[in-house]
Amino acid sequence: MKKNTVMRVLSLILVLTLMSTCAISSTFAKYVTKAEGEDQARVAKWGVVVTVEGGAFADKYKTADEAYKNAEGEYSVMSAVEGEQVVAPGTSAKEADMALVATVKGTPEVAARYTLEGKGITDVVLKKGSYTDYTQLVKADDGTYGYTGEFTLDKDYAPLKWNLVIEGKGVTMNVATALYDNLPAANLAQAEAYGLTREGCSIFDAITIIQKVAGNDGYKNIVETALGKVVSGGRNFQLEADKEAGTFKLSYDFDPNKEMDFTFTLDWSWAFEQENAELFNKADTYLGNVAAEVVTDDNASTTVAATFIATATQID
Amino acid sequence: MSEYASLSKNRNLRSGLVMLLALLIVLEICCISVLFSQLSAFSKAPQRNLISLTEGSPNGTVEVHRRGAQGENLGGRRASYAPAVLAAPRIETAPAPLTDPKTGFGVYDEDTVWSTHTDVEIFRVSYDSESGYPTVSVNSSKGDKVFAPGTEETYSFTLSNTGSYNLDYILTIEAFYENTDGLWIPIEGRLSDGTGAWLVGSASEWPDVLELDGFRKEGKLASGTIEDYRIDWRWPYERFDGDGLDSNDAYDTMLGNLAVDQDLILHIIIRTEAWIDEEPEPTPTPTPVPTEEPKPTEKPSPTEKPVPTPATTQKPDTQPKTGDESHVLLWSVISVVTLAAIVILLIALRRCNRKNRDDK
Repeated sequence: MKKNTVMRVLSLILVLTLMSTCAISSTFAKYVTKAEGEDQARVAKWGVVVTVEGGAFADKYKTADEAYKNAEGEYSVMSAVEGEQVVAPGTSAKEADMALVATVKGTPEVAARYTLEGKGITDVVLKKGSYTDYTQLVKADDGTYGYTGEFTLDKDYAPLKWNLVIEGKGVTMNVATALYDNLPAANLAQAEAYGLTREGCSIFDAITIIQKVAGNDGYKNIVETALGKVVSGGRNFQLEADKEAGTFKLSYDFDPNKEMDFTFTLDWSWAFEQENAELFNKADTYLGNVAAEVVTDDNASTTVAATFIATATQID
Repeated sequence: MSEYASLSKNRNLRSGLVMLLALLIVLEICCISVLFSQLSAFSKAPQRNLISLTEGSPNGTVEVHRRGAQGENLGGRRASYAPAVLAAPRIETAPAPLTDPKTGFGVYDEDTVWSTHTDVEIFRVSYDSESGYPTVSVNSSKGDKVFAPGTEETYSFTLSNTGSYNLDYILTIEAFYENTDGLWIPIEGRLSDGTGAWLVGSASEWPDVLELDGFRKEGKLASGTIEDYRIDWRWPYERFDGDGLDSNDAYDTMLGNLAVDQDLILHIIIRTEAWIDEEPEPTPTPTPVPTEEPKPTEKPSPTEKPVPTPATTQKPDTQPKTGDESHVLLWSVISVVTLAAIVILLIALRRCNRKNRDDK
């Protein structure tokens, strides 16, 4: 019995030795070198959300006249057709609680270009020239009354003044105000000659200014510096405008991993009283009559329209 | 009395032999345990059974230089296993990194000498702009590697054999997506070798990067030679195929937005394995040298005495040095010797027992 146990143990050892010898021989028979290279990557984040919300115009506007309010008048301007948007002297986006707001949010891992583009732009304009004065009846020599008086515009009259307000990180930048605050006097005079006011300027005046600004680094740098205070991490502010085609485009580039979180608000107003009140009251009245189809004149445009497209695009 | 003395002496001898036998059995078991621990695939050190092909100085002409700071930065074992360059003979198409003479087979790229698991730079953390944007146009926020529309890279790597044996090798590539929930990612890839031959894709054809998956090439790497491979990948900035540019842009944007909350990962793994080619190396057939026609000489010059040349044939190293420190041979010799001793002791014990029986 004991002998058998010893023999079994020895047999087991013999088998194990043979097995290990086999293992050794097979390992020695072949030298193998392995090398492995591995890499992995993930899709870079985008996550930029662009919105354009709200509307610029309304079909009725509340009155600012206290006497009219006291007489229980609520709206001083109201479209004859409900839902049909109108503008008139004394109306503004603020009065109608209207605002066209474009927002951008996101922190992409790729460089991104934010573009705000305006297309199909038409504006309320009375082109320069002489027009019948409908503000007062004039008694003729024969004792009859008629609108025989005239007024003359020495440049196009566009009563709607547009302005762009950019907000980001608690800072607000009013573009018209920034230009007034930062432009040198000579350049400011030039911009005013193109139609710039503290309230802004008409779309086509803006396009004219943009065209001039785009070719003038001094103007562009002022806007870009002001923009930089609102929107950090941006660069390469660009402006393009085509008055004939009725388009404009502004763009601003952002480096990868820069937080984009800002809001463009498009504001407009048609002043009730202007500096040259007598002349512009005549022009406003003429435009109103054209809108009422009392007068037909191809030099008068009574429709304001624009399509705004906000885009964020990856930069290659 | 003498009978009792003889019996007692035999009993002492027998017990001594049994004790010796027990010790030898313990030693044998130890030897076998050590051998299995060193040779088993389940050994704790995973690279223990991967024996680098390393040798002494073949032809005595190995020139070894460090790669400089980058090579030294590899540090430790990895740095010491960087490929070496043979001074001659050498058939190399590109400069190989100058490293330790121990390694025969090696894989490296312009930055890294591969080891068993090496992180290589197929992808990048950031990419320069293609359109002249003044800074990088893609940059990872977490420091990990990313890709995006418009990114592309070329990754080249080299298989080298600086040993004196010809090698067989296998090159395989694995490519797969992780965490994409079956979504297709429009990354394209192709593979070529150092001769410019396309192994996946072509100069004009960019197949899906997953076409690289399952690629396998078996080849031979002669002593002192290298073979280059190149992987190109890209995510086209604009794709006009399928449903058109707008639709493709929308799809790319969807992927980018999805990536904000979910890592959509592409893996590429390149595996190489090489071993000594056991087939005999074909002897090069000497090219016949055209014999010049003998010119008539006015005065026959005295023939020079042949200068006895020293024997140039060097004795090859009998056993290649390896990087394996496990001393398998020593343990196996001890094991066999112990086994032999056990058998001898067993025979001695049987004789002792027989003698005891005879004495009784």
